[in-house]
Amino acid sequence: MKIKKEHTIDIIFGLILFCVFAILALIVLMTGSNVYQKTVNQNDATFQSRTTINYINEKVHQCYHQGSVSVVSIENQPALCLIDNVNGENYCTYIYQDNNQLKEAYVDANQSVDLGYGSALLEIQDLKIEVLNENLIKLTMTSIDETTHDLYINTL
Amino acid sequence: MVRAKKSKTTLFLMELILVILIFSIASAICMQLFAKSSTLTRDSNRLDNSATISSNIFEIIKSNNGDLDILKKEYQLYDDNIIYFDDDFDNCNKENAVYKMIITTSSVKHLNTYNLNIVKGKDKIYSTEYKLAIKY
Repeated sequence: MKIKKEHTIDIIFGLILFCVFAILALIVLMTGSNVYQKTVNQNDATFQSRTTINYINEKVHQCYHQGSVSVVSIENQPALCLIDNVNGENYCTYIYQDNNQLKEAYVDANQSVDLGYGSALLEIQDLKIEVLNENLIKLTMTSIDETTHDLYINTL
Repeated sequence: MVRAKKSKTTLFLMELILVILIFSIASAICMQLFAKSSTLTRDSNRLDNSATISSNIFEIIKSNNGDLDILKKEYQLYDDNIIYFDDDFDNCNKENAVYKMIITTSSVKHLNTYNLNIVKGKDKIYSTEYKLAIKY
């Protein structure tokens, strides 16, 4: 019986083909993980920063009547005060920063409040509240990923 | 015996080529999905920024009873009521701009209408309309 010698190229070709397959699999896997990581980071950033801005924006628009939005100070920390009238009684929603947290406190408008009173909404790095003119308030929020977002509120 | 060995190698090669073919098709589909996911993320980010900026601009206009001049205090307002933004949607000059917001106004009696359009090149990214009753 004739024994035919196997060529080295047969093995090398198979190996090269397998290597190409392995490299391609790795590239697809890495691209997939990169895209996923990017999307997750983006979602986190959106949640951390824009959720806060959109939340405050909605909250302000909820009690939108003249004189209902003002800037007050709680323990030397600026806070947004949103007055709401319920059954003839005025209640105030304070939105402010305490350490690295955005907090909200809903209390009787005549009641004094301290920084620890509110419930934490989200983690933030910084919240600046500026009164630009008698009708306009500017909120600048820096989220924990250090992106900054501005929100302008008309108080008329 | 020779035939058996040859047949085994050919079978192995055929199997490998077939696997690579199937994998290539799956990869092509995956790559398309990855690209689409990336585009969707970018577009949603862009829309969200556009909506926030438009809302901010209208709040500023509203605080001055509809007068656009107040925008000059907060943004670089060019002729024809155009504001330029960079890739991160930060206000910038015309030279570094990626996006531009065109503000057009129209007025009927005491009601002003503001159309805010954000464009990138010739593509319209976002468009919104606000109405404001002017106080005299």
